[in-house]
Formats: sequence, C-alpha cells, structure tokens
Amino acid sequence: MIFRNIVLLIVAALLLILSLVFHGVPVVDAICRISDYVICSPCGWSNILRSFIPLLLCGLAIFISFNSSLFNIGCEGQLAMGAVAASASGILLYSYIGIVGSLIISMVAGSLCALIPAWIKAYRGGHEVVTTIMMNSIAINISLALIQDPIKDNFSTSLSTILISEDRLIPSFMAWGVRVSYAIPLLIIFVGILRYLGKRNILTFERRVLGANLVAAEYAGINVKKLTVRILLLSGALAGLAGGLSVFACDGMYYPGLSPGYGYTAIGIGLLAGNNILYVIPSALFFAIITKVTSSLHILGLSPSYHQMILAVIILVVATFRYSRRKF
Amino acid sequence: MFDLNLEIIAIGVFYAAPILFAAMGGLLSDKSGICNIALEGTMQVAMVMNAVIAISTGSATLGLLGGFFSGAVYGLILWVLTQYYYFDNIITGVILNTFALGFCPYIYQISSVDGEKGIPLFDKNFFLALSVLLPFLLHWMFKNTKFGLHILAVGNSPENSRLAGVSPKYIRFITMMLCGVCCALGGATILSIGGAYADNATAARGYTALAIIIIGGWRPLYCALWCLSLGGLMVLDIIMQGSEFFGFHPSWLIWNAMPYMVMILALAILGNRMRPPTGVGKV
Repeated sequence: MIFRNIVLLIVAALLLILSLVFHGVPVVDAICRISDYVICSPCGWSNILRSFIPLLLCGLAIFISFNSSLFNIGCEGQLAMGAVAASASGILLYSYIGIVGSLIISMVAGSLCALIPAWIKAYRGGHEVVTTIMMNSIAINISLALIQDPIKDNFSTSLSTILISEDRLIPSFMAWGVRVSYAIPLLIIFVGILRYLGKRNILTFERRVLGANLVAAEYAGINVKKLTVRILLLSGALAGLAGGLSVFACDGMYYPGLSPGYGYTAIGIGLLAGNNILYVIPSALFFAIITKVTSSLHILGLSPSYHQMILAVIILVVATFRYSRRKF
Repeated sequence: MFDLNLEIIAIGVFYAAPILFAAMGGLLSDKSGICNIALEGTMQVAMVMNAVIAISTGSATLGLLGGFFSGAVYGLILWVLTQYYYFDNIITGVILNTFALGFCPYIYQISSVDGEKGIPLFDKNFFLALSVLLPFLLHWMFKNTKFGLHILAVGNSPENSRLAGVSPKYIRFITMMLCGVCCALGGATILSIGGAYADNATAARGYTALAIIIIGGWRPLYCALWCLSLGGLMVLDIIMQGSEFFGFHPSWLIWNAMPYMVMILALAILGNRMRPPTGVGKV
C-alpha cells in the first residue's frame, strides 16, 4: 500500500510536470506557486480536508461495492440526493430530529437512490452499472428540481438552498491554523469500527465471499439476492452520508456544484484501497490532495477542465495496480 | 395540452438518431464480448475532433474522417487495456468517460478555433438516412456473413472460438474500431443537428444507448425500435415544458429525467427476459 502510494505520487508528479512542460509554463516557478497555494498554506490544507470528508465516504461506498464485485457507479447521484435531503431536514426539521436525524435522513435518501438498481440487479437481472449510471442523471435532475420554495434561497442569484445557520452545523477546531471539522476524527473512528466488524460480522463475511466467488457463495447457502440488495443499500447509504456531511460539515447548503465529481474520483479510491478497508483513509487523502493540486492549475492559466483529464489518467494508473496480471 | 405536429415528430427522430448510432456501436462491441461503457466518452471525443478538424481545414469530409479516426482510436484504447492488460471492462470504460469529460473542453480551448462562423458539416438528413440503414445492415451482417458469425462466436465463447481458429483479439480489434466509428457518426449527427460545438452536448445519450442495448435484447432491429420510442419520449421534454400536470407544474428538470426513468422501468420489466452474450468480459 505504501509502495503503491509512493509510486503513484511520483507518477502524478511526473504527469503534472510533463503537462506543465507541454504548456510552456516555467516548471520550477509553477511548482513553487502551486505548493505555496495548496500544500504549504493552512488555507490549502483546510480545503483539502473539506473535500476529504465526501471523498472518504464515497470511497468507502465504492470500496464496499467493489469488494463484493458489484459496481456502484451511482455515487454522484446518491451524494446529491443525500445532500439535498440533509439540507432540507437541516432547515425544516432540525428542531425535531437534530443533526443525527438529519444525517440519517440523508443516508436514507442515498440508499433509496440505490434501492432501484439493487432490486433490478437482484430480482430482474439488469446490470447494476447501467441502472446506477441512469440513476445518476435522474437523481441529479430531481435533486435540483427539489430546490423549491420552502428550502430555496430566494435572495441568491444562483440556484441554492438556504444557508443552514452556523450553530446547527458540525463544529470545527483549529490545528496549526488548519480548520478541521470534528467529523473527520469521528469518520476515522467509524472506519476503524468497520474494520473491526469486518473480522467478526456475518454480513461482511458473506460480502467478501460474494466478491470472491459467486457460485461458491450460492452453494454455501448465502442468499445472494438479498445480500446484493443489502450491499448496494449500504453503499448508497454511505454515499448519501457523504452528501449529508458535505452539507453539515463543509458548505451548509446544497447547490449544483457541490460535488465536482466526487463520485467518479472515488472509483480511484476504491481501487487503490485494495483489500483493506483501513487503506481507504490514506487513499482518500491522496486523492483529496491530487484533486486540489490539479484543480488549482488554473492559477497558472491552464484550462480548468484540465484537471479532469489528469485525474482520469491517475485513476487509470491506479487501476493498473489492481488489474494488471502482466508485468509492464 | 399537446401540440403535436410533424415538426415535433421530426425533432423526436433527430433525438433518436445519435442514440441509435451509439447503440449500434455498443451492440457491435457487446456482441464481440467487450462491454463498452465508454460510448458516451467516445461520442464526445469524436465530436470535438470532428468540430476542430472541420473548422481548421474548412472541409466537412476531413472533419468527419477525423471524427471516425479519433473514435476508432478511443475504442482501441479500451481494446488494448481489456485484451492485453486484462483490465476490468467496466472500470476502464468509466475511466475513459471521465477522461473525455476533461479532454473535450481542453482540446477545443487549446486548438483555439473560431466556432462562431459555423462548422462545415454534412446535412443532418444524410445521417438520418444512415441511421435508418444501419440496424438493417447489422441485422443482415449477424445473420448472413462470415464476419458476423465470427463476432457471435467470439462474443459467446472466446475459448471455443480460439480452438476453432478464430482469434478473439483480432475480431474484437475490428469491432471496437467499428464501434468507435459508429459513435463518431452519433457525435457528427449531434453536431449537425446543433450546428455548433458545445461541451457535454451528448447529454448522456451514450448511457441511454447502453440501456437500449439491454432492453432491445442485443438485437439490432429491436434496439432501433426502442431508440425511436425513446426519441418520442425526449420530445416530451419540449412539449410538456410549463404545462400543467394533475394540478401542479413539474419543473423542467423532471421532464429531463423522464427518459431515464422510462428506461429504468423498461429494464425492470424486461430485464430478466434478455440474455446477454455469454462471453462478455471474458478474455
């Protein structure tokens, strides 16, 4: 894992330098400016940690589905539904259910989004990739359509929900000038609990058997259909929680650009983490850094869409680690 | 409430044509045993290359050929990764889609072509005629030609066809190139309907094509029928905007999501009757 990450960091750095050379930007100066902007400033680290929260949760969602050989590509839509549900309940229902209730509602919204693909996969035989991709389009469109009168910010020029007041959000503390939300230590403990459960929980065991060998799972008496539905629901709930936390721990409202493709970046996280759920944490951090560095390339005058390309190539390199049987 | 006339039906057909091209491309690759999720990305890349080359050379033919070439190259990337390096088909496809999402605006920006004056393009009726012919052509090919039978053999059992002397890699090489060309045709159709290049003009048509392949049961003519009915549904988006529906005004976003909902419904109803080629994803 550590070896992989180091190799990947080198590959990513080489890619960045190559692209800079290709564009005729002075390399040393550019690296200094980017590292000043992102790595060496507390503000940059605050931003990295902000995108770390949804990336970690989406990475967990993808990890869980990949390890049971199900492909949940619909994290983006589930995240959007979770975010809009969380902001709606944060505005309207907060006094009744509090923050925990709001987050649970976001999880329910995310898993509802995954329920249809799960049911079709288990009982009707449609491939879950196609249905989850379609649910992405549906969920994003519907979540934008749901920003209606009671939760819509009518005074804002752009489409967004009302900003949830500061005292309702998850508080954050300052460490060496970096703003860290209390959600991050809680999430790391949560991953630790998942790891602990992974060794003694029946669901996790069945999940891994399903991922390793479907036929063997059926012969061993595992109810594959029920398990498929459960895994996709769990995955959707995690992605929905990512949306809920990116409202409650970061932005305080839902707007169309809330997720700049976290659901797709998380595929790289799930692949990089390999077989151990604890590795999702460093993978998510790695991808959070990469996302911030590449998306800050625009300060050098490069096209803002450029970072999507570099991210895709990096995910491709990650996939080579996972899938190559042939030595390069 | 409905103001149906010929013009709107024509719009429906033009909506359907790019989906049909993409679906036929996906059909070719699926039948030969590679599950191609990257239809959307291939369409986008072919579309942007088509636009850039057509504008810079001022020739519609060169633009179309450039689109074909880049579509074929994009298909071949998937072929190399899945056949030689044994990547998972689906993950590679998703990665290629993500790449195309960034690649297209980037290329259009750095080539700094002037799209304001209009792009030299073929007439949209040309593509429409091709889209009518293509499903019949594929149907005939799968039934009657040696190459079509080879595709079916490779897609259903690569190992057995290898024993029979048909190389899966070679057949898949050709089908992936053809798939890229089909997607490029889809991209060119979108260009010639819109008349100008816009980022993300494909609007998830590639993903819709994937669902159509499944509910069409991997049969070209059925897929074509489904494409036509989906084109009709997409016109709803235009007709129904702002109209009242059971007493309330649904947002246009709901109408945007409508075709996908119908697709998912169709998948839920018809999904388990259709059998995919058994060799999909096997090397």
